[in-house]
Amino acid sequence: MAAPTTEFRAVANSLATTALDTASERKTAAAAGTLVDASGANPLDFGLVSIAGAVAAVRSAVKHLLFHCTNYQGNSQISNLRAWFAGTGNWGFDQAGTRLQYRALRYEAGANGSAYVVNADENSYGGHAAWDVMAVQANAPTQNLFAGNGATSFSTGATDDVVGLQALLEVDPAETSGTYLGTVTAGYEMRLSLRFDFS
Amino acid sequence: MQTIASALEPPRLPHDRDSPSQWMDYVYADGRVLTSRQLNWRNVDLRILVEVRFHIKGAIWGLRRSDCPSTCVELVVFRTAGSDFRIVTDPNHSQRFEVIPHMSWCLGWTDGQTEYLDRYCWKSGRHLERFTLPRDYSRFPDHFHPMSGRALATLPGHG
Repeated sequence: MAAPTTEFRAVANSLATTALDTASERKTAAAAGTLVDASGANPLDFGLVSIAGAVAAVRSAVKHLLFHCTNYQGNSQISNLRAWFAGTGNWGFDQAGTRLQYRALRYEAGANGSAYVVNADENSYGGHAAWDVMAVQANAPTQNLFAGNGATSFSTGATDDVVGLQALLEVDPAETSGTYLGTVTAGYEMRLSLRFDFS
Repeated sequence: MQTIASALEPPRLPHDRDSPSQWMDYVYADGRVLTSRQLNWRNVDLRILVEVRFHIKGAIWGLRRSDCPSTCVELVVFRTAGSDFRIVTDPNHSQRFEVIPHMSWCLGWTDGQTEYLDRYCWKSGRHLERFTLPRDYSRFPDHFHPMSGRALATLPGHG
C-alpha cells in the first residue's frame, strides 16, 4: 500500500488555545492553514531579520506550523516523527550561532511537547535559550515532534490529529547576508528533512 | 510507458498503481502465502505467521521465524516515509534541487526488549542499515501488530 499523504500548513500564531484543544479543531485549523512545501513556491517565510549593526544574535518572529495526514492510503497509524537538516548543504548558513529553534507543541494535557502558548515570541517557553535547536546532522534524530495531544503517534478515526510546532530563526550577527530559500540560491538554502513511521 | 508485471508478481490493486515490483509476502504455517496486495500487515494472522518476504524492484529480502534466535517473540514490520533533498549540478544550467520522497521498509524481530531491524530502500531494494530500537508499544505503536502482547503465547514454537 502507498504511504500516507501528508502536508505542512502555516497557521496564525494567535490562534486561541480554545480553538485548538480538541483533535477535530486542530484538523480543521490545519486544513484552513497556508500550504508550506518544498516546491519553492510555498516556503515558510520567516521574514526579514536585520543584523545590521547587531552585536548579538537577532531572532525572527515565531512561526506556527501544523503537520497532518491528508490520506492514510489504507494505513492506520503514524508515529516517530522526526525533522532535521540532513547536512550543511540543506542548511546553508555559515555561522554556528545561526540556528533554527523550535518547540514541539501539544494543545491539551499530554506526555510530550510544550503546552501551546498563544502569540509566542522569543521570550516564551522560558526564553529562547530554552528552545530546542533543529539538528544539522546526516541521520534522523530521535523523535522530536508529537501529536497535538502530546502522544507519540496518531491514527485514523477519532484519534486522528495534527503535529504542531512553533519555530524561530536565530541569526548570528556575523552571518552572511542573503535570501535563504528552500531552493538553490547561491548556496543559501534551508531545507528540512522529515521522517515518520506508519503501518 | 507501460509497466509489465512479472509472472511472479501478484495482481496489482488500484491502490498499488504507484508500487510496481514492490510487495510483501506473508507465509503462514499452513503453507498459504498472502501478499500485501491482499491484506494490510495489521490484518495478518500473527499467530500462524512463519516468514515475511519483501520484494522490492527484483530484490528479495526475507526473515523466517525459524532463523531467528530462540529469544524471538514476534516479527516486526513497518514502513517509513518522508522527504529528502538532492542538489543537481548541471554545467549547462544553474544549480537546482529536487525533492526526493523517502520510503523504506523495515523488517526484523523482537525479543520483547529490543527490536532488531533491517531497513530496505523501497525504490532500489538496497539494504540501507541494520539498527535496533527499544521495544516500546506506546512510543512506536505502528511497529507492532494488533495481536502483539495478546497472542504471543500461542505463536508457533513459542506456545
